[in-house]
Amino acid sequence: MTNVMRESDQMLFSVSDTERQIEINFVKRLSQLLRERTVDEIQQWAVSGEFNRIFNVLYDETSPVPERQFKDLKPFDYSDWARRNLLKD
Amino acid sequence: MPGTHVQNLQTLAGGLIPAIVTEGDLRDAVYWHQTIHLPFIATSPTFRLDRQWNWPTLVSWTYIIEKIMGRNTAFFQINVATPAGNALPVGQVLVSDGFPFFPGLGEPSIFLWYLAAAPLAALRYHKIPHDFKLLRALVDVAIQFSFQRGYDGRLTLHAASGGVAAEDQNLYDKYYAIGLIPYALHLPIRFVRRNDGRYFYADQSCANRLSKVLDPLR
Repeated sequence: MTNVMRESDQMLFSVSDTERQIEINFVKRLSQLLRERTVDEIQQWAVSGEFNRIFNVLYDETSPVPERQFKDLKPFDYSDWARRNLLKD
Repeated sequence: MPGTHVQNLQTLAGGLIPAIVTEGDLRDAVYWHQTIHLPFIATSPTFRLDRQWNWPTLVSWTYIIEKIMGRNTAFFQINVATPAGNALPVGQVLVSDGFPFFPGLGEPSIFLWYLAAAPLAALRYHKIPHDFKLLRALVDVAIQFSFQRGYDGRLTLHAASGGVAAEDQNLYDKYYAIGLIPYALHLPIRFVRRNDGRYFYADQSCANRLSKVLDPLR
Protein backbone atom coordinates (compact mmCIF):
# COMPACT_ATOMS: atom_id res chain seq x y z
CA MET A 1 0.00 0.00 0.00
CA THR A 2 1.42 3.34 -1.00
CA ASN A 3 1.11 6.10 1.50
CA VAL A 4 -0.24 9.26 -0.02
CA MET A 5 0.35 12.44 1.89
CA ARG A 6 -2.61 14.65 2.59
CA GLU A 7 -2.51 17.75 0.47
CA SER A 8 -4.18 19.89 3.08
CA ASP A 9 -4.91 19.66 6.78
CA GLN A 10 -8.49 20.56 5.87
CA MET A 11 -8.92 17.17 4.20
CA LEU A 12 -10.81 14.75 6.36
CA PHE A 13 -9.88 11.58 4.50
CA SER A 14 -6.75 10.23 2.88
CA VAL A 15 -6.27 10.17 -0.87
CA SER A 16 -5.35 6.47 -0.81
CA ASP A 17 -8.42 4.30 -1.46
CA THR A 18 -7.44 1.74 1.15
CA GLU A 19 -6.69 4.26 3.85
CA ARG A 20 -9.79 6.23 3.01
CA GLN A 21 -12.01 3.16 3.43
CA ILE A 22 -10.46 2.43 6.84
CA GLU A 23 -11.04 6.02 7.89
CA ILE A 24 -14.61 6.03 6.61
CA ASN A 25 -15.37 2.84 8.54
CA PHE A 26 -13.87 4.41 11.67
CA VAL A 27 -15.93 7.56 11.19
CA LYS A 28 -19.12 5.51 10.73
CA ARG A 29 -18.52 3.65 13.97
CA LEU A 30 -17.60 6.79 15.88
CA SER A 31 -20.60 8.59 14.44
CA GLN A 32 -22.89 5.78 15.61
CA LEU A 33 -21.33 5.88 19.07
CA LEU A 34 -21.82 9.64 19.29
CA ARG A 35 -25.39 9.63 18.00
CA GLU A 36 -26.30 7.22 20.77
CA ARG A 37 -24.97 9.66 23.37
CA THR A 38 -26.53 12.81 24.75
CA VAL A 39 -24.71 16.08 25.41
CA ASP A 40 -24.74 15.54 29.14
CA GLU A 41 -23.29 12.06 28.70
CA ILE A 42 -20.39 13.36 26.61
CA GLN A 43 -19.74 16.14 29.12
CA GLN A 44 -19.86 13.56 31.89
CA TRP A 45 -17.09 11.68 30.13
CA ALA A 46 -14.95 14.82 30.39
CA VAL A 47 -15.83 15.46 34.03
CA SER A 48 -15.11 11.89 35.08
CA GLY A 49 -11.91 11.62 33.04
CA GLU A 50 -13.47 8.88 30.91
CA PHE A 51 -13.10 11.10 27.85
CA ASN A 52 -9.30 10.83 28.15
CA ARG A 53 -9.52 7.06 28.23
CA ILE A 54 -11.96 6.74 25.33
CA PHE A 55 -10.16 9.23 23.13
CA ASN A 56 -6.40 8.87 23.10
CA VAL A 57 -4.06 11.81 23.17
CA LEU A 58 -3.25 12.97 19.64
CA TYR A 59 -0.59 15.43 20.67
CA ASP A 60 2.49 15.36 22.84
CA GLU A 61 1.23 17.21 25.86
CA THR A 62 4.58 16.92 27.63
CA SER A 63 6.66 18.78 25.06
CA PRO A 64 7.57 22.22 26.38
CA VAL A 65 5.64 25.13 24.92
CA PRO A 66 7.52 28.41 24.84
CA GLU A 67 5.96 31.46 26.40
CA ARG A 68 4.66 34.21 24.16
CA GLN A 69 4.80 37.92 24.58
CA PHE A 70 1.46 39.60 25.19
CA LYS A 71 2.33 42.28 22.66
CA ASP A 72 2.81 39.63 19.98
CA LEU A 73 -0.68 38.14 20.33
CA LYS A 74 -3.07 38.53 17.42
CA PRO A 75 -6.70 39.18 18.30
CA PHE A 76 -9.13 36.63 16.89
CA ASP A 77 -9.54 37.21 13.17
CA TYR A 78 -12.96 35.94 12.13
CA SER A 79 -12.28 36.30 8.41
CA ASP A 80 -9.18 34.15 8.72
CA TRP A 81 -11.09 31.53 10.73
CA ALA A 82 -13.85 31.47 8.15
CA ARG A 83 -11.37 31.11 5.30
CA ARG A 84 -9.61 28.22 7.01
CA ASN A 85 -12.91 26.53 7.76
CA LEU A 86 -13.98 26.87 4.15
CA LEU A 87 -16.91 29.15 4.88
CA LYS A 88 -18.30 31.69 2.49
CA ASP A 89 -18.91 35.18 3.85
CA MET B 1 -21.09 46.64 18.37
CA PRO B 2 -22.17 42.96 18.08
CA GLY B 3 -19.34 40.71 17.01
CA THR B 4 -16.60 42.66 18.75
CA HIS B 5 -14.67 40.87 21.44
CA VAL B 6 -13.64 42.47 24.70
CA GLN B 7 -10.26 44.19 24.94
CA ASN B 8 -10.30 44.49 28.70
CA LEU B 9 -11.26 42.40 31.68
CA GLN B 10 -12.95 43.79 34.72
CA THR B 11 -11.36 42.98 38.04
CA LEU B 12 -13.43 42.18 41.09
CA ALA B 13 -12.24 45.52 42.46
CA GLY B 14 -13.75 47.28 39.46
CA GLY B 15 -10.61 48.14 37.51
CA LEU B 16 -9.94 47.35 33.86
CA ILE B 17 -6.99 45.26 32.65
CA PRO B 18 -6.05 44.94 28.96
CA ALA B 19 -6.93 41.56 27.53
CA ILE B 20 -6.83 39.90 24.12
CA VAL B 21 -9.24 37.27 22.84
CA THR B 22 -7.24 34.92 20.65
CA GLU B 23 -7.98 31.79 18.69
CA GLY B 24 -6.27 28.90 20.40
CA ASP B 25 -4.70 25.88 18.78
CA LEU B 26 -3.37 22.63 20.17
CA ARG B 27 -0.19 24.34 21.25
CA ASP B 28 -2.24 26.74 23.34
CA ALA B 29 -4.24 23.89 24.81
CA VAL B 30 -0.98 22.22 25.81
CA TYR B 31 0.30 25.48 27.30
CA TRP B 32 -2.87 25.73 29.41
CA HIS B 33 -2.50 22.08 30.39
CA GLN B 34 1.07 22.59 31.56
CA THR B 35 0.83 26.08 33.00
CA ILE B 36 -2.65 26.28 34.48
CA HIS B 37 -4.29 22.88 34.58
CA LEU B 38 -1.69 20.50 36.00
CA PRO B 39 -0.29 22.78 38.72
CA PHE B 40 -3.49 24.56 39.78
CA ILE B 41 -6.65 22.77 38.64
CA ALA B 42 -5.80 19.08 38.73
CA THR B 43 -4.49 19.57 42.27
CA SER B 44 -7.04 22.13 43.42
CA PRO B 45 -8.04 21.67 47.07
CA THR B 46 -11.53 22.87 46.23
CA PHE B 47 -14.11 21.32 43.91
CA ARG B 48 -13.42 21.90 40.23
CA LEU B 49 -15.62 20.47 37.53
CA ASP B 50 -12.65 20.55 35.16
CA ARG B 51 -10.24 18.75 37.46
CA GLN B 52 -9.96 15.76 35.10
CA TRP B 53 -10.33 17.61 31.86
CA ASN B 54 -7.48 17.34 29.41
CA TRP B 55 -7.72 20.28 27.09
CA PRO B 56 -5.35 18.97 24.37
CA THR B 57 -7.58 15.88 24.17
CA LEU B 58 -10.81 17.87 24.34
CA VAL B 59 -9.70 20.30 21.65
CA SER B 60 -8.37 17.69 19.24
CA TRP B 61 -11.18 15.18 19.66
CA THR B 62 -14.05 17.66 19.80
CA TYR B 63 -12.76 18.96 16.47
CA ILE B 64 -13.07 15.43 15.04
CA ILE B 65 -16.39 14.67 16.75
CA GLU B 66 -17.98 17.88 15.54
CA LYS B 67 -16.57 17.41 12.03
CA ILE B 68 -18.26 14.02 11.91
CA MET B 69 -21.49 15.72 12.94
CA GLY B 70 -20.98 18.21 10.12
CA ARG B 71 -20.01 21.14 12.31
CA ASN B 72 -16.91 23.25 12.89
CA THR B 73 -15.33 24.06 16.22
CA ALA B 74 -13.53 27.10 17.55
CA PHE B 75 -11.23 27.35 20.54
CA PHE B 76 -10.73 30.72 22.18
CA GLN B 77 -8.56 32.04 24.98
CA ILE B 78 -8.65 35.30 26.88
CA ASN B 79 -5.12 36.46 27.64
CA VAL B 80 -3.66 39.08 29.95
CA ALA B 81 -0.07 40.24 30.39
CA THR B 82 2.17 39.18 33.24
CA PRO B 83 4.46 41.84 34.74
CA ALA B 84 7.24 40.39 32.55
CA GLY B 85 5.11 40.98 29.45
CA ASN B 86 4.32 37.34 28.80
CA ALA B 87 0.86 36.28 27.69
CA LEU B 88 -1.11 34.33 30.25
CA PRO B 89 -4.39 32.66 29.29
CA VAL B 90 -6.85 33.28 32.11
CA GLY B 91 -9.81 31.53 30.54
CA GLN B 92 -10.83 29.55 27.49
CA VAL B 93 -13.86 28.19 25.71
CA LEU B 94 -14.40 25.46 23.15
CA VAL B 95 -17.50 25.87 21.02
CA SER B 96 -19.37 24.08 18.28
CA ASP B 97 -20.43 26.11 15.25
CA GLY B 98 -23.87 25.38 13.86
CA PHE B 99 -25.48 23.43 16.71
CA PRO B 100 -29.27 23.43 16.28
CA PHE B 101 -30.93 26.08 18.41
CA PHE B 102 -33.37 23.96 20.37
CA PRO B 103 -35.41 26.80 21.89
CA GLY B 104 -36.22 27.75 18.30
CA LEU B 105 -36.70 25.75 15.15
CA GLY B 106 -33.21 24.36 14.98
CA GLU B 107 -31.57 27.41 13.42
CA PRO B 108 -27.77 27.32 13.69
CA SER B 109 -26.31 28.51 16.95
CA ILE B 110 -23.08 28.34 18.88
CA PHE B 111 -22.96 25.57 21.46
CA LEU B 112 -20.54 26.17 24.29
CA TRP B 113 -19.08 22.73 25.01
CA TYR B 114 -16.36 23.52 27.54
CA LEU B 115 -15.34 26.58 29.54
CA ALA B 116 -12.58 27.02 32.10
CA ALA B 117 -11.20 29.92 34.08
CA ALA B 118 -7.78 30.07 35.70
CA PRO B 119 -8.01 29.77 39.48
CA LEU B 120 -6.87 32.60 41.68
CA ALA B 121 -3.80 30.62 42.75
CA ALA B 122 -2.62 30.50 39.13
CA LEU B 123 -3.03 34.26 38.76
CA ARG B 124 -1.12 34.86 41.97
CA TYR B 125 1.68 32.51 40.89
CA HIS B 126 2.08 34.43 37.65
CA LYS B 127 2.05 37.71 39.57
CA ILE B 128 -1.28 38.87 38.22
CA PRO B 129 -2.50 41.01 41.14
CA HIS B 130 -6.16 40.77 40.22
CA ASP B 131 -9.10 38.48 40.27
CA PHE B 132 -11.32 38.75 37.25
CA LYS B 133 -14.99 38.45 36.48
CA LEU B 134 -14.38 35.73 33.95
CA LEU B 135 -17.60 33.76 33.50
CA ARG B 136 -19.49 36.59 31.84
CA ALA B 137 -16.48 37.44 29.69
CA LEU B 138 -16.01 33.84 28.56
CA VAL B 139 -19.67 33.39 27.69
CA ASP B 140 -19.44 36.70 25.84
CA VAL B 141 -16.67 35.30 23.64
CA ALA B 142 -19.09 32.63 22.44
CA ILE B 143 -21.90 35.15 21.96
CA GLN B 144 -19.71 37.49 19.90
CA PHE B 145 -18.60 34.54 17.79
CA SER B 146 -22.28 33.78 17.22
CA PHE B 147 -22.80 37.33 15.98
CA GLN B 148 -19.74 37.00 13.74
CA ARG B 149 -21.13 33.77 12.29
CA GLY B 150 -24.39 35.51 11.48
CA TYR B 151 -26.39 33.63 14.12
CA ASP B 152 -27.70 36.80 15.81
CA GLY B 153 -25.99 35.88 19.06
CA ARG B 154 -27.84 32.58 19.49
CA LEU B 155 -26.04 30.48 22.07
CA THR B 156 -26.82 27.21 23.82
CA LEU B 157 -24.96 25.42 26.57
CA HIS B 158 -25.37 22.69 29.12
CA ALA B 159 -24.25 23.23 32.70
CA ALA B 160 -22.29 20.04 33.24
CA SER B 161 -22.88 18.07 36.38
CA GLY B 162 -20.06 17.08 38.70
CA GLY B 163 -22.16 14.80 40.82
CA VAL B 164 -22.05 17.10 43.86
CA ALA B 165 -25.48 18.62 44.30
CA ALA B 166 -24.34 21.88 45.90
CA GLU B 167 -21.68 22.46 43.24
CA ASP B 168 -24.10 21.59 40.46
CA GLN B 169 -26.53 24.15 41.83
CA ASN B 170 -23.69 26.66 42.19
CA LEU B 171 -22.81 26.38 38.50
CA TYR B 172 -26.46 26.57 37.50
CA ASP B 173 -26.88 29.70 39.61
CA LYS B 174 -23.82 31.33 38.03
CA TYR B 175 -25.15 30.91 34.50
CA TYR B 176 -28.52 32.16 35.63
CA ALA B 177 -26.97 35.14 37.41
CA ILE B 178 -25.21 36.42 34.31
CA GLY B 179 -28.51 36.49 32.45
CA LEU B 180 -28.64 33.31 30.40
CA ILE B 181 -32.11 31.82 30.06
CA PRO B 182 -32.72 28.39 31.59
CA TYR B 183 -34.50 25.95 29.29
CA ALA B 184 -37.38 24.57 31.29
CA LEU B 185 -37.06 20.98 32.41
CA HIS B 186 -40.42 19.89 31.06
CA LEU B 187 -39.73 21.09 27.51
CA PRO B 188 -38.46 18.54 24.99
CA ILE B 189 -35.16 18.99 23.21
CA ARG B 190 -35.42 17.06 20.00
CA PHE B 191 -31.82 17.67 18.97
CA VAL B 192 -30.20 16.34 22.12
CA ARG B 193 -33.00 13.97 23.13
CA ARG B 194 -32.70 14.28 26.90
CA ASN B 195 -33.44 17.40 28.91
CA ASP B 196 -32.04 17.16 32.42
CA GLY B 197 -33.03 20.75 33.21
CA ARG B 198 -29.47 22.10 33.00
CA TYR B 199 -29.60 23.68 29.54
CA PHE B 200 -29.32 27.42 29.06
CA TYR B 201 -29.62 29.58 26.01
CA ALA B 202 -29.42 33.12 24.71
CA ASP B 203 -31.72 34.17 21.90
CA GLN B 204 -31.07 37.34 19.92
CA SER B 205 -32.72 39.57 22.50
CA CYS B 206 -30.85 37.99 25.38
CA ALA B 207 -27.54 38.07 23.47
CA ASN B 208 -27.97 41.77 22.74
CA ARG B 209 -28.74 42.43 26.39
CA LEU B 210 -25.73 40.45 27.60
CA SER B 211 -23.48 42.12 25.04
CA LYS B 212 -24.44 45.57 26.22
CA VAL B 213 -23.29 44.72 29.72
CA LEU B 214 -19.74 44.26 28.48
CA ASP B 215 -19.73 47.01 25.86
CA PRO B 216 -17.51 49.22 28.05
CA LEU B 217 -14.83 46.52 27.82
CA ARG B 218 -14.73 46.34 24.00
